[in-house]
Amino acid sequence: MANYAMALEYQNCIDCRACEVACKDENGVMIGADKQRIWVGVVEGGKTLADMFVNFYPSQCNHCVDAPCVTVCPTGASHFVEGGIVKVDYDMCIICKGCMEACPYEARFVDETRHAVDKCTFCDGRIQEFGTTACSATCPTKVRTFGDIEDENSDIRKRLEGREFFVLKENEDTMPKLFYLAPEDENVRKRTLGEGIKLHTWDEFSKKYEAETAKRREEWKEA
Amino acid sequence: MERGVKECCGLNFKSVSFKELFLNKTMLFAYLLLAVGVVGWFQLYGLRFGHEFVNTHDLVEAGGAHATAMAEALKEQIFNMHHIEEVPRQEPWGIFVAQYTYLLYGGSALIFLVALAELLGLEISHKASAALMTLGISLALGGMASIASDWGNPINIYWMILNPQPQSGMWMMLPLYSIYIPFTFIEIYFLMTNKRELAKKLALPLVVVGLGIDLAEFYIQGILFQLNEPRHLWSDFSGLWIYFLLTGALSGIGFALIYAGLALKNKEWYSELVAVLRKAGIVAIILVALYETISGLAGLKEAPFSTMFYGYVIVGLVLPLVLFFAKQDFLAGILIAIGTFSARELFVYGGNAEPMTNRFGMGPEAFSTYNVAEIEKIVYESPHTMEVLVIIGCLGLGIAIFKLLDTLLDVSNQPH
Repeated sequence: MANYAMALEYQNCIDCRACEVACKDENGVMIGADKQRIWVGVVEGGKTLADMFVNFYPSQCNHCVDAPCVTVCPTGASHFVEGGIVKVDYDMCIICKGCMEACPYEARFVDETRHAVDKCTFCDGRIQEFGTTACSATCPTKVRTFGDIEDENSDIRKRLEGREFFVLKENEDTMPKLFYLAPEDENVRKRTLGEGIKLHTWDEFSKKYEAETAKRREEWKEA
Repeated sequence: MERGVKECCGLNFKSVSFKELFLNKTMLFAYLLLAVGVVGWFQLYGLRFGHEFVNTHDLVEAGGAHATAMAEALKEQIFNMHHIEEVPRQEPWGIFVAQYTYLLYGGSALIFLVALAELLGLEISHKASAALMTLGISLALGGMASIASDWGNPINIYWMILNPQPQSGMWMMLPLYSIYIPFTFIEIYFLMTNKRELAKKLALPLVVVGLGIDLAEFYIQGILFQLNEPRHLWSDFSGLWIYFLLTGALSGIGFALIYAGLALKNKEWYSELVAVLRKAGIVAIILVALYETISGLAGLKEAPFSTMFYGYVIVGLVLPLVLFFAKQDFLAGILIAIGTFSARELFVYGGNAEPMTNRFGMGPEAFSTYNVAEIEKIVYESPHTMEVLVIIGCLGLGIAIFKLLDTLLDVSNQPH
């Protein structure tokens, strides 16, 4: 069974937000600036012209292996499906917003058209047909690489095996599946990444990742 | 048996007219609060179900058939969403949850204190226990109305029964309150029943089980908040349930002092009851202050949290302590009730204040605002007027429930 994840070459991002538009179009996401399943985050830093920088980093639900939103949901509306994708069953959601409180990534929002909490689904349905998500397909600078992380021949696996990466809010122990590829230039790394960010290699990271995946794999339901 | 009293199932029901039951001063006050709440609930319903919201698929499917409505909806969503949306994703829980924790924990802790007093055999508690327990459960029900208002689509709640999620703190509320509420009414029943022999036999087991259920309630409430791992104000303190119990006890004492000052002043045992409440209040204030000092839970000092923090400390702790020593107990009760609400606001809003701003490891970020200049380190959005109206209505509901029970069962005048 596939286990979907995404690697992000975020330094390629030009903040065009074509991914946001593609996501809304593909998934019928509610209209409104704050109603996004995916977004481009902006972080500015530096104090002088010599060290100022801007990081654009596309983000979305991290489809955590140990997803706290699934744990706290009182009705089972938030659940895992095949591929380790975290989804919301709109017909079961009471909008208690517990999942929004539990999510470290602010990935969820209330969709008033569905009367439920909504979030990224990794384009579940589309990926079976076209092999990738709408945001990945539309990105002009190829920031996102989507695929089965357990397939040794997949593009995502090859990217992660060839580069150091980090995940967001690692200290929360949710085992997120959005892997940000670290800048290859040492100076850029030092200047633009926070001190708390740990860099990993796939060899070292995969052991913990596989162990955590095994713990919750039995919860994955058929889509 | 008194005239105008009918016995049923071991309880004395007062025979009262419609006017006495529904048109007394307390009920009129409760109606006023409820009327305010109804305005809020109406607005809440309108916001959730009365707006035209659209997604991209709606646009495609509409194909011009509802062009005007579509244009209006688009305009509203694109240009005014920040002002009309109910829940910002950075701050999902707000004043409804603050009111829920305030009334429910305050009411439950009052029930806990009464049960504890019964266990310790305090003479005065026998006289007031039925009334105070009824007050506690009425306010707890008002708190539940607040959380029910918070849920955007409560019609799906039946899934909590069909699809149990025992790992979820929020799901645990279902079995908990399915037991807690009926059990509390059973406790009240045995405090008031004419079946004295049976009541005496069951008194101790009932009180002990009641205390156990109360403690379980606070423990589960602690888990509910602590499961929210990224909200470090909530998740980093292992003894959160103790905090809820202590602050809830303080709120409960405040409620009891207000109630006693308004309804029990003509009782010969009023001074004795207030003296006990005063002592309990002083102990509760000291324990809460100690907890806050050790845990540093209320450590948010930036505006607007500084107002809530000092409102809590000065109005809820310091001034009542001074007033207790000056024997101004009614005023102390009012200040405790106000100050502990501020504590609940601080706790709920404070938990949402800072968790999300450092996602990329390099300080505050722009997210959804599309404007880097609008980045704020502290996430806080003051409650909408609609929300304030609703929580006033919830308080009115609690008062109305209590007054109806008091009028019918005369809980304030139970002979013991």
